[in-house]
Amino acid sequence: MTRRGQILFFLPALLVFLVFVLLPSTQTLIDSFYSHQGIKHPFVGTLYYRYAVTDPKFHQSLGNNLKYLLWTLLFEVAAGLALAVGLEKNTRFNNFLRVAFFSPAVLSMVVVGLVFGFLFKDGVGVLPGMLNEGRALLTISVISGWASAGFFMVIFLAGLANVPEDVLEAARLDGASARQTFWRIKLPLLKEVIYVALLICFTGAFKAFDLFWVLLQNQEHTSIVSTLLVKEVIRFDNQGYGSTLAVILTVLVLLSVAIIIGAKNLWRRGERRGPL
Amino acid sequence: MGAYFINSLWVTGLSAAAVVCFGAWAGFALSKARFPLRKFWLALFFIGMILPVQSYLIPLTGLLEKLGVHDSLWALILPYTAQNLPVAILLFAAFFVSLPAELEEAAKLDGVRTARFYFSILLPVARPAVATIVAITCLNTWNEFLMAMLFIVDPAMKTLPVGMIAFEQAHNTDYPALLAGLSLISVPTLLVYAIFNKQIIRGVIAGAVK
Repeated sequence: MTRRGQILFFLPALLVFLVFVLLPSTQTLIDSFYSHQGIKHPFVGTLYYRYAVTDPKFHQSLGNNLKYLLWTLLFEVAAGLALAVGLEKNTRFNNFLRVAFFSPAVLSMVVVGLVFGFLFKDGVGVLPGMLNEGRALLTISVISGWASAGFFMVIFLAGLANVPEDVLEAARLDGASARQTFWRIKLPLLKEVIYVALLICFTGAFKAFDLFWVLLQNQEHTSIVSTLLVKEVIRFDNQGYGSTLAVILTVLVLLSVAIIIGAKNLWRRGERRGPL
Repeated sequence: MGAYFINSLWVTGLSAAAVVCFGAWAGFALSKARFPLRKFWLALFFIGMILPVQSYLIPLTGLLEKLGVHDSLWALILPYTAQNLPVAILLFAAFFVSLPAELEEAAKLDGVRTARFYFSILLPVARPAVATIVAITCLNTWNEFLMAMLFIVDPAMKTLPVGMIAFEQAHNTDYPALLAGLSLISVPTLLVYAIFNKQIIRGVIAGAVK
């Protein structure tokens, strides 16, 4: 293929990605240094960043993101791993259960939010009060777990399928119990997949929006950074501060990816050096 | 509700078509070892894949207005295409790299031109990758809520998730109608999942392991 042909094939995708992702991302970064109140848009430097540091609403939202992250590690990742281990054997019944557990992952989070919102509604719902102050964050995390544990189960099942049969056979011959086989053999061999799951869970905890918006839009104390950002922009028309929050959110996502990839490489290097 | 359904169909169909088309082309180009700045582009699309939608959300409203497509379905189709392209490009590039080089050499010896080679030999071979990308892009765009909520003001242009929220707020006690609406969003994805669950699962794994 000629060089020119290759570039022609590449251009449409690059153009769309450039115009609708890269360009606006850069614009967000620029906007975070300008005030958008009034007609003139004066440069304000790091004003909004300094404001964020002292903004109690931002503190609370970020704290909620972190709490949500910890809960989803339990209800999505750990639950997904448990499901995968429980349904590892390839029987017809297990296959049916796998399909069933994954199915909420194809549902719109708006639908999930509306249905659970109805269940929790005061007066008509069967479980009123689940979205009250103090309980809402845990409730949302459980709903997220219900929706996404099957997704993590699928990732872990793919990892378990790659555990070599002869290793398991050797463990069986040595009389290892099911628990020993899991902790000593399967879990260490699942390491690659666990990193991927952590990556998705960490970034997902910061990217989350739909459920929080549908169920908790009118609660201030259960905002997360992504919902606070949208409220700043559409309710207060504060594009400068909204952009600042968007930049912070992006940095948090990129940072968690960097930390997990870094931890993975460190771990690998330590392993190569051996235990002593 | 019917109008929202039709809007969602258009947005999902056109976005998925564009993602597969542009994604496969770019993936094919990037699968060539001597493509200029190949590593840089792959890294760029990897970052594009993890970038949260919030990082480009706010200026997009103004940009779509400037392009004159705001409040039309294009205000969703274009960003959705851009959003789903990185995964498609990386997946297609990995897929095409994994194909034996003899395939192209043999075609060259037979005097097949590049474009012909691409369309009549490569694309049919890439069917599993195409199915995977179509499945995950359709699910993502059909269910997308945040951009659809911010970019579409005209009620006639709303997609199902946003229309559903508006409907719920207006008639929150009309349970039969609400239930019909919820089914209208969910039944298609559940049906697609029932039929294409292998492709969707493969997409999840491929997207995750990439």
